[in-house]
Amino acid sequence: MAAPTLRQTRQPAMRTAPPWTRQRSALVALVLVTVGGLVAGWRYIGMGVLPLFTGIGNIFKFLGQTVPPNFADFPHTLNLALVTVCMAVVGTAMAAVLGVIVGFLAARNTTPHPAVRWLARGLIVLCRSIPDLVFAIIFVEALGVGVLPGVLALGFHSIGMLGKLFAEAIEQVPEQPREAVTATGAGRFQNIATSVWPQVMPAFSSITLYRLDINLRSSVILGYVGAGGIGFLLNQDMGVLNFRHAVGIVIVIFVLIVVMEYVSALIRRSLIGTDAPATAAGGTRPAGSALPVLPAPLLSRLAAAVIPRPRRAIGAPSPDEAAAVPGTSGTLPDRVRRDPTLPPWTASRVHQHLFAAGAVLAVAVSLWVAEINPVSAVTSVRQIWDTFTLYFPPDFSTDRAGLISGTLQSVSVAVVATTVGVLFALPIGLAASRNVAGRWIYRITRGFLVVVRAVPELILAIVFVVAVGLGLMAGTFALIVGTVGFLSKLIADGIEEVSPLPREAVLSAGAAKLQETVTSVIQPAAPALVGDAMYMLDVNFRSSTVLGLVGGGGIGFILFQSVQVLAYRTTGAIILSTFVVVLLIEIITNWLRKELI
Amino acid sequence: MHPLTDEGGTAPGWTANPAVQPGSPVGPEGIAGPAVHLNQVTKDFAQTRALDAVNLTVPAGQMLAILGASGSGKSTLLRTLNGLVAPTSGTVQVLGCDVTSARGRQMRQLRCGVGFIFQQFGLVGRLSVMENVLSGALGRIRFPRAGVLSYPRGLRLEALSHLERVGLADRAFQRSDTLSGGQQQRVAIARTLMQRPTLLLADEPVASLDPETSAAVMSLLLEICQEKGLTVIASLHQVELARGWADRLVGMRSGSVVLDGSPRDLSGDEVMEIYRGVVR
Repeated sequence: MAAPTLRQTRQPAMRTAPPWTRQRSALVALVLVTVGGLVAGWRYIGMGVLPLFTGIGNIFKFLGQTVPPNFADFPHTLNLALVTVCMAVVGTAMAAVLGVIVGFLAARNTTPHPAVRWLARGLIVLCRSIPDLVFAIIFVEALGVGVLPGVLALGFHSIGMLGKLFAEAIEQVPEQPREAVTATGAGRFQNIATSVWPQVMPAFSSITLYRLDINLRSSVILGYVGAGGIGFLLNQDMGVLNFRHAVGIVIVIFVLIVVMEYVSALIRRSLIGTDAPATAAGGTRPAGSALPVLPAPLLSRLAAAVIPRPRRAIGAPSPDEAAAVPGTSGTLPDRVRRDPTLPPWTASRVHQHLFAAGAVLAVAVSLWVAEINPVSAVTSVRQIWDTFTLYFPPDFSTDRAGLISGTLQSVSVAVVATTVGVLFALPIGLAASRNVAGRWIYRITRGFLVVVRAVPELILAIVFVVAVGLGLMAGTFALIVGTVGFLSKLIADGIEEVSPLPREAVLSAGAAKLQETVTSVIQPAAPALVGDAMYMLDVNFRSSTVLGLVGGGGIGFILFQSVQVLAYRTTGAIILSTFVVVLLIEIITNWLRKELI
Repeated sequence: MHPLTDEGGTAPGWTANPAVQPGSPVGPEGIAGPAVHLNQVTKDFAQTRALDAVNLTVPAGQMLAILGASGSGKSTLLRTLNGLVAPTSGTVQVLGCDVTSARGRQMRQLRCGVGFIFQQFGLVGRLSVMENVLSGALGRIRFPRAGVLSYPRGLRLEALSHLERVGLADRAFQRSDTLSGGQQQRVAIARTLMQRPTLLLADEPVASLDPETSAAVMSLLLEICQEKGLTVIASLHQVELARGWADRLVGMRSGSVVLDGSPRDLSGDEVMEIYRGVVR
């Protein structure tokens, strides 16, 4: 009897399908465009899975020539590897300093003027769209073969990403504290230093460390064009087909990258892990937070021994003075004699100071070890400027056909690599999330991802060139593998941030594990996933220019052709074209973000 | 106007208007005239008129409560007083300074003397309680400060004394986002004290707190204002709470002042009238 009643009460106008909103149409359009792009791109570059299998024999033959690896002249290799690390450190530090300035100018809420904001954003896109390798070519041209051009290339290119991410972090700072500090009569600069800077510091350090990882990988490639470091040696060996020695170098690079990844993960975790504040103000007892680096008591004892308490001699209050400050003398244990107006050395404060000191020390040591003279970068501004002007005005006419087909090829490679990469990265990303996968699956997958990401794309490209021959296909395969390694981690990190509360609710409603994963994990993480995929498209397009260097085809191929024949103005045209494509991807990404998120 | 704190001086015992009684014609620091004077102030936002030709004069030392439903223009009115919102037309005079024409240094100097308590506290979450309180002194010192250590010791001692006054001296070096709502608002009060204001503006200071905490925070705030002889303008929507302490009630509806008088002269029905027909 209940069913007919229900049917009677149902209004004819009542609909159970969701309304056809703008957002939904955008989503459908995105899926259609992606599938269409995949099919069109796949056909344009003549992709196939078959050559990979037929080429496996070639890979084994090639790998056979590389064993056993030859570690001849190991100290020299190690020295060059160290120089590579130093390049990455100094380049990242340079980008961090400049990126902070650009970021504050580009953020909506801290920019002095809208015109300045657009200028800063233009600079960010410009730096991002010119691959570090192209910067390296220009700086090597201007300053000669050496480490400094590599540092400048990494630095300038990284300003793009750091400035962009810094600005985004600044724009997320809540408005209320800023307004409150304004209301106390603080000036603009004071206000930023008080209410914005402390809030963005953790994000800034974490982003910078992340960029250091990326720069270490890129700095290997820079050696190929004479910008110093271990890549130079690798290029030499590959040129004379000394594969066994080359593999020895690759192993050193691999170890370097894995070690750096772990070190930066440790630093990041120790910075975030000690964010939990001290429970009591007066105690020298450190916060009871988990410290992955060193046990907390050890650390604070170490700090107490190493770091003198600033101004203690001058600022230490006499007993009467301390008593005169109400409320503080009583709450402090008598044995702790310190100025009540000074903050105690809690574990998190010790960590922050150690981190800051370590960063400064790392840069100083790197400058010394790699014999980088930052002053010469300033004194050769004239030369650099002269070299830059060689590329202008750009010459689009000489190789118009090559320019157009090269750009189309690179876009196709990026689209195919990204979409195929997403298909693989989704399940792998789920398996690499602590809150979804079982413990062992999580650990094994994370380990696998570290290994995959530690192989520079350049090396992947070389392996695939051996397998399927020179051309676009090799570059695409290399980028697919790179995308899987990179995107899976991004997806996993995004999934680990999904709130556990709705998941509990869905499970409480009696959902199965898979149902729960789909409704309360994948769906909330989906907008971030679209953003990550677009970011990968951007990265892949720029990487595809780099892979032209080893025969990966596309716009990179004609880029290096034009560089080799010193056709500067054609090179300028190619650089400008990549800039336009990156800008277009940026605009589409922003539009998608607005429509979907 | 606001002398720099000399090193070592704690200066906890400052008072804004020791001699001023409610309704006295003598303003703060000897400036004759009212603490606040609004003349035909109108503020338009994109779609709505938030303030509609408001006239209001507040004598120094008065404790004034602004009542009204959400969206009646209370917050906008308070924000025009320290220049956080620039009116579309009309003039605003605060402590003898023309807010509508003040720029840069002049505006900052005015803001120094005007404390502002926000509904959402407005503390910088990652900074310690002490640093948040010290930021109240930024208007008096020149450079941005990198942390507690870079403030003069005199200011640090003063900050501790204000924290002591609000009962949070033992939390000085705790991160402020770990405090409860009531504690955070007390820190915000201490920050305002650091400004040594003569006028205190409070925008729904206890609306985000539970009833018990809000009564405690409100009475602390009023106690301090009376001790220091501050002029107070606070917006509230709890009518009974306002009746308990205010010298004067001002009711607002749709951006206009629709009610103005002392709590004794206004009946409950008259006050409730301002909420009539405002259904949101």
